[in-house]
Amino acid sequence: MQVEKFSYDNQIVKQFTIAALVFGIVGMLVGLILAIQLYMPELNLGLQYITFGRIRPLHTNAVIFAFVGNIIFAGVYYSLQRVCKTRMFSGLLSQIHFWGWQTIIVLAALSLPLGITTGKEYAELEWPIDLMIAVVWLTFGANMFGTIIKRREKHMYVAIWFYIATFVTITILHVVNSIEIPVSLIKSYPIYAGVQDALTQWWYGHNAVAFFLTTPYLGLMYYFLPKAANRPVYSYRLSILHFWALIFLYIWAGPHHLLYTALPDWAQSLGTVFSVMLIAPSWGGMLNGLLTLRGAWDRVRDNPILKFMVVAVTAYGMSTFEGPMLSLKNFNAITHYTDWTIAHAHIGALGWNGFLSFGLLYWLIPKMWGTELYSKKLANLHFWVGTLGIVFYAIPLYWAGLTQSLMWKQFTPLGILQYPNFLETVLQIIPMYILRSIGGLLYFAGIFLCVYNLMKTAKLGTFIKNEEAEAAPYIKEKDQMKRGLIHRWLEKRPAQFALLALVVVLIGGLVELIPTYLVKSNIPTIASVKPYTPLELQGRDIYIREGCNTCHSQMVRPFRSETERYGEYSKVGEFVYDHPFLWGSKRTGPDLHREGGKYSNLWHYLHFEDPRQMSPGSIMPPYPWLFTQSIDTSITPAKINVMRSIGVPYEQGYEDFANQDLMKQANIIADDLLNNGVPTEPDKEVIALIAYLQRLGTDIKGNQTVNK
Amino acid sequence: MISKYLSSLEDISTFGIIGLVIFFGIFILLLVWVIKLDKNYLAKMENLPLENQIENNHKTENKNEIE
Repeated sequence: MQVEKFSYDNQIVKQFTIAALVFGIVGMLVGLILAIQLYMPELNLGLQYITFGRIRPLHTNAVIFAFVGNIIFAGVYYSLQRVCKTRMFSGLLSQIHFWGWQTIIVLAALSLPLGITTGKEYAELEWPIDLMIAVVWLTFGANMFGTIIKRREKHMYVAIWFYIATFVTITILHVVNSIEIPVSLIKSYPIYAGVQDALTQWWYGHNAVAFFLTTPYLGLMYYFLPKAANRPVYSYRLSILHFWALIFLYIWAGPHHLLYTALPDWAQSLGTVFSVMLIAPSWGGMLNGLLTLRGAWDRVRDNPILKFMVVAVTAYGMSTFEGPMLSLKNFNAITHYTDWTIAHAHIGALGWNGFLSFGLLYWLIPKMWGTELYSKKLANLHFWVGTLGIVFYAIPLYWAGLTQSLMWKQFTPLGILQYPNFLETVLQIIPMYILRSIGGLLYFAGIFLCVYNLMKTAKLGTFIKNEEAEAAPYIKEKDQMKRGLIHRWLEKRPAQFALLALVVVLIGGLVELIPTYLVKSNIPTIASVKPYTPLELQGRDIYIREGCNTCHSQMVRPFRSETERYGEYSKVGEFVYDHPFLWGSKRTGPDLHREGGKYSNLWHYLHFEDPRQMSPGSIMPPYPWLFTQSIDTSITPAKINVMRSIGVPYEQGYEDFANQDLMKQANIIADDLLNNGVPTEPDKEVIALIAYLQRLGTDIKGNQTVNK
Repeated sequence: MISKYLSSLEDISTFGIIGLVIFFGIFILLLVWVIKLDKNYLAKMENLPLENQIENNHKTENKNEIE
């Protein structure tokens, strides 16, 4: 048969690789700063732009979407061309995709420190950037499907399936979770409220982990691990099972992030059951990866690439076992809201994503530059520094999480909380935070070894911009193989394949989401719950801007240890006007859902001025800018209008009076502060934030009282 | 309209059972497919990523020789 000559585009792979390393360094540096701020809050240098609440989303976005994202694209662009035996469909689309994605990252790096955020974890970027993400993502999809369609290889290798599922699912997740109504260019409210918003957000959040941090990386594993080991994958059958079972099950498991919250019970149980079932395909995949090395384990000893990959796949197995365990209610009751979650996430991030990325880079760069790796020794050093980093990072945090949780729950023999002061439980784990930052530092140092080694490698060789290749054209012919026709029919057809993948992930999503959206009985309404006043609404938006929800939850779980500490447990009906919900996922500070009326306005004022003058040893930073910046009242009417359009019952025409009400309430608080000896102008942001905090959880506090 | 239909469901917890049944159905079907897959096909697919490697190694060697 006549073979066709063509070339693979390595240029785009190189671009994504460089971007990944640059943004990886930035993202990890921000992570290190955050880790140190936890015991040294003054490291924000008094600047609002680099305060914990604002740069925590910067860290997560940078490492997930900039570092991992760029690695995914580099790996996909490299492997897709080769398993399809064709050049990318369009060089122009590749470039639009690359520059579009980097622009998004830069916009994120600017907007998040400025406090422009939706407040939804891993989806913090505001609506104009959301739109850009959609466009760039679709560009990537078009380019990928174009390439698959013009392929010279009849069958689609399993890696491509994972790429297709990634594309399809991330598209849905991003669109559904980002439906928001703009108030201005930099502010929007999600159409969902309270429990619906929470469920949508964690359906998104969980599946972003599944379909951005897992499925594309599994695709990369199925391509690059066999390449690095120079032997075929252990079982192709297993990879088929792995794929379909994984994408089907993952989508159901989101509610396990919301156990013991006000989410309906049936949804919580559903999340737990499917999470436990997820162990099977996850471990199937892990074993498939590890067993690929059967008979080649001796090579792991002196091949740093394989070392990285083995630890990565093992970390995948560890975190996918730990995840289902964490979604068991009894275990979750202890670990949730603690540093355990952070440790769990980092086993996945540093181990699975990080180490697979490094393994891939050490393999890819020498290949694309037509040379050998500059220094195996340095790569080995990187491996050990990184591994130690992971150990020093994770173990102290597991310890810290467990310690703090047990302290939260400890009662004296008389039945009162042994550690009623939340701060006491924080101070106890500060040494662990210090150790963790050392682990982070080690891991961070490793990436410089990597960059140096790769740059030296590139200098040794010459970059092969267009790699020559040849293959026979794909001629449609009758299949000679007799058995398993259905599946092979399917995997020859990318469009139908994508459609089926879509259906499979939709089943879980719909079963989970639709009932909560539509069935009234799922959201018990409480008559005494009223919309926020304009001042409280403004205060709430400041709360979101400062990222208070990164450290403070607003969800009292129905445990005695929590109702004793915080007050009445949270009810679904209390959140019906919360666009977005602010339940949070981590308690670095105490829960705030019953904060209203707990302390005086003066206490909050002084606490914002310097938390340590009210709580000696506190690790919360001061917020001096709240005392100088004025509330942006020009936007109040627009906020009221948008809120009304998404179902908050403000009366028609109220937007015209909203600012009068706002000033009235602000004056009351300012007067109260003045009477207590701190004269403050009523238009300052601190007033709005105090108004919001004093409102929190008070709607049902009056009749079902709590004393604290 | 859909909301009316859904709210007429007496027990929303059936959704979980339905989900489980759908999953096991699909899983069994999948298992049958996978077991019935053709050996030649599997062998071909397993070696697909490695095919290029041979070509590439070959090329790299040639390239080095030229340089």
